[in-house]
Amino acid sequence: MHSFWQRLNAIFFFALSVLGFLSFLGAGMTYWHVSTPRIELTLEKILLRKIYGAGHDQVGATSWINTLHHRSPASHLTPRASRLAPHASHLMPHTSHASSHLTPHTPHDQAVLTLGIDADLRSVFNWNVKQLFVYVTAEYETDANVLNQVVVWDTIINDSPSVRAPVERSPGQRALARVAPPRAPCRATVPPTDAADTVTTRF
Amino acid sequence: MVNKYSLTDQGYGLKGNNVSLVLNWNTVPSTGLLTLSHGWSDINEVTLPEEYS
Repeated sequence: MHSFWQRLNAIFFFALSVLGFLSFLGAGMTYWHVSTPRIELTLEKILLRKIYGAGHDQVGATSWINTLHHRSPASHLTPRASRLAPHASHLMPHTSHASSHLTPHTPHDQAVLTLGIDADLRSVFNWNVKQLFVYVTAEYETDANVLNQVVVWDTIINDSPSVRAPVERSPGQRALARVAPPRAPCRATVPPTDAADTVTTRF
Repeated sequence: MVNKYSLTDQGYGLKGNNVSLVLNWNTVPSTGLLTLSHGWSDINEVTLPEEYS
């Protein structure tokens, strides 16, 4: 005769088998789902600049490099350091710069984009879709690489009613607001009248 | 909106270059395979400025 545990075991594994079967069935039934998403992707504004650090550094890094390049060498080294190495403009100043762990990199390009993203991905959803991970890539070709792919923006969409998705259109001021505060010293262009002894930095 | 992650090249590859912006999405299913789709139909190709701003 079947004992209690044998019956429980049979019921449990039968339920597990049914669950597995239904899972495959569910995956198979939405395999042929056809979606017709509407995508409008525009670039409203772009700023291109030359940076000297990793690109996501603190305030000090870029301005430090610029002052180093444009002022007379060793002008802001400590007295001891300038005595030891009077023309060592490549040396890190020992004082007055908090981000002294950053070493000078070769400069490279960075772009600040203002994207207009308006996408209607509701048709992608069906009853077997839990969420969407949406992202925007910038793709370009350089001499070094045939394809550079950079993710510049992403979002997660969880439910289909709100999928008219990603987003508010940006007024463009946010782009400036993002660039300006931390890097204002780097972007300053001094008028030519008194430019003789001041730092003129161009990006 | 402004880009969340920086578009930074390792050299001078962005200046005056053509950059394509593509929307992609991963579909996370309740059951089944995670699939990747691309919005190839609406690629925004832009030429970056020749001058730094």
